[in-house]
Amino acid sequence: MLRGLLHRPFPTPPDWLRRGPLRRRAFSSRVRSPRVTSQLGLLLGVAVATCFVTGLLSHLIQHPPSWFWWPSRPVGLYRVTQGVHVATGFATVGLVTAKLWSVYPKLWAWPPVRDLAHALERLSVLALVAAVLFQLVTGILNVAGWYSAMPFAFIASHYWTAWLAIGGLLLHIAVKLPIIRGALSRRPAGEPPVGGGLTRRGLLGAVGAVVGVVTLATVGQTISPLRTVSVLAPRRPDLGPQGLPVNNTALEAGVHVVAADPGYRLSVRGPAGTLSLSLDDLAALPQATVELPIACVEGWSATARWTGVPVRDLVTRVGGQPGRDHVVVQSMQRGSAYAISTVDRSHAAHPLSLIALRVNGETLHVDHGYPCRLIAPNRPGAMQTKWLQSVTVVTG
Amino acid sequence: MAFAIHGALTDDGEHLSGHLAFLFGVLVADDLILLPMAIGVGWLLTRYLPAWARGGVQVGLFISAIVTAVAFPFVLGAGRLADNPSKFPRDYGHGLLIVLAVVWLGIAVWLAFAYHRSWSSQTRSRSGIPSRTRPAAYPDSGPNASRSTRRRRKPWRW
Repeated sequence: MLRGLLHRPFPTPPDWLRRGPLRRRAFSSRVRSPRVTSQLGLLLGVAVATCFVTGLLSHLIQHPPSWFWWPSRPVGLYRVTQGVHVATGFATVGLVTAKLWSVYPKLWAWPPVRDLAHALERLSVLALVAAVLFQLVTGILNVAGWYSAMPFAFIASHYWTAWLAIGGLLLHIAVKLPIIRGALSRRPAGEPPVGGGLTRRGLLGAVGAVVGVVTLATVGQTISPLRTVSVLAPRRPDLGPQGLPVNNTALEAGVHVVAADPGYRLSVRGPAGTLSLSLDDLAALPQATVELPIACVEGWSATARWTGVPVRDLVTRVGGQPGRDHVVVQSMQRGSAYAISTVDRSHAAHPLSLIALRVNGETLHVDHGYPCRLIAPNRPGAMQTKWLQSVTVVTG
Repeated sequence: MAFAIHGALTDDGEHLSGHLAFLFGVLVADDLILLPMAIGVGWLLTRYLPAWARGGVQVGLFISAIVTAVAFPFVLGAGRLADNPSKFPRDYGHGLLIVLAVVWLGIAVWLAFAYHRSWSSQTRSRSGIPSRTRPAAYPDSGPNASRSTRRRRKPWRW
């Protein structure tokens, strides 16, 4: 009965409405075919899936549900996953454009809706296209810091639209699978002699070229050896105070006055009591020097040498137990979602997790978190909390 | 997809009207403005350019359009802040011009080859030498096409 409802044909619109792009042979390019669309679709599917998985990881690390666990080694895993996320997003712009061009005549299919099933399928494809374009555009706007162009909360919208895109993609593949299988398995009957202009292979080559050009022009923010080649990269990973880029300056964060206070004390709370440590007290404790990257959600990352007090030493000093207890750090910054961050048990116990006082041999610059900041392996930059005010050890 | 809709409706951090407007906006901008423009330009190229030049110019324009679109927010510098020179430290307008120059240099080389190929095949056909550049006869065109392959040239079923 449902099948009957879904496939009951709608009335066909009158033929005189079939004008402009709706006409039978309105689109003349002979490069279009199910084969080219399927090949582009395959590449696009891989790209979207890659962005989804890496993006979901980034979201889960920053908003961890109770079941979520994230390893602390390899120390640079997040810089890889987020670097891949942003680089893939940039590369997908050319790919999705070619794919949409190849199926453009289908937007003007006649009749526009044959039956209910067809209408629902068309709606889901519209949602898929809108969602994928939304993700690419908002992702790039976020990397460019152009928040005034986005009249919505980026984090929430980018997250939920990702689910819309992946759901739409799975549905789309399910519906088109017979066509895809047929188009990809059949050997092409020779390239149609297109009078000049691109052939199918030429189109795929062009897509490869555009992906290559865009990637080379931007990926130097993640892959440091390419930093001089990537003339459109949003960051140079070696450019900034003490050789590291800054996302949020002390001035922007509103802490430039309070961070310079000579009476600064770090408050370390735990089961055995509270310690109030000045910078000299912190410097007097046994120090460790580690090499860790700062890896941001915008895809750039840079490695530096950090010196400071291991988090697990501070945990022990206030009666906590590394490996059992997790740590909550709070910044002097007010009014930001990133002012507080939680370091889970395994990361807090990790020998490379530090309350850093120095970077690359110098006292921490105020834009890098002076008087002290958290630095831990495999952690998004936004969670490497700067301008620490307190460290609280929470049991269990 | 239902998960997405449910999540967006229940998330406090959402601004649903702006979100929906933007979703709708990118769809319309792409499907009803940008793609038709691209198709129109393609049609003009096919009409007014000689055959040997079409492929190269199409590819060049395609890459130029995509790179410009991607670079646009950075060229505008909307995310820049006076007190943070490490954010968007480059001259992106300049960078975009460099990328476009490199791309069109490559296209110029390709076009030079394409022109040479087309010129030499014309010369050969004029002097009666069989062309090396034309690919083998297609099974589904010309007098040797069989009935079955000719039938296969109907419009693709999507």
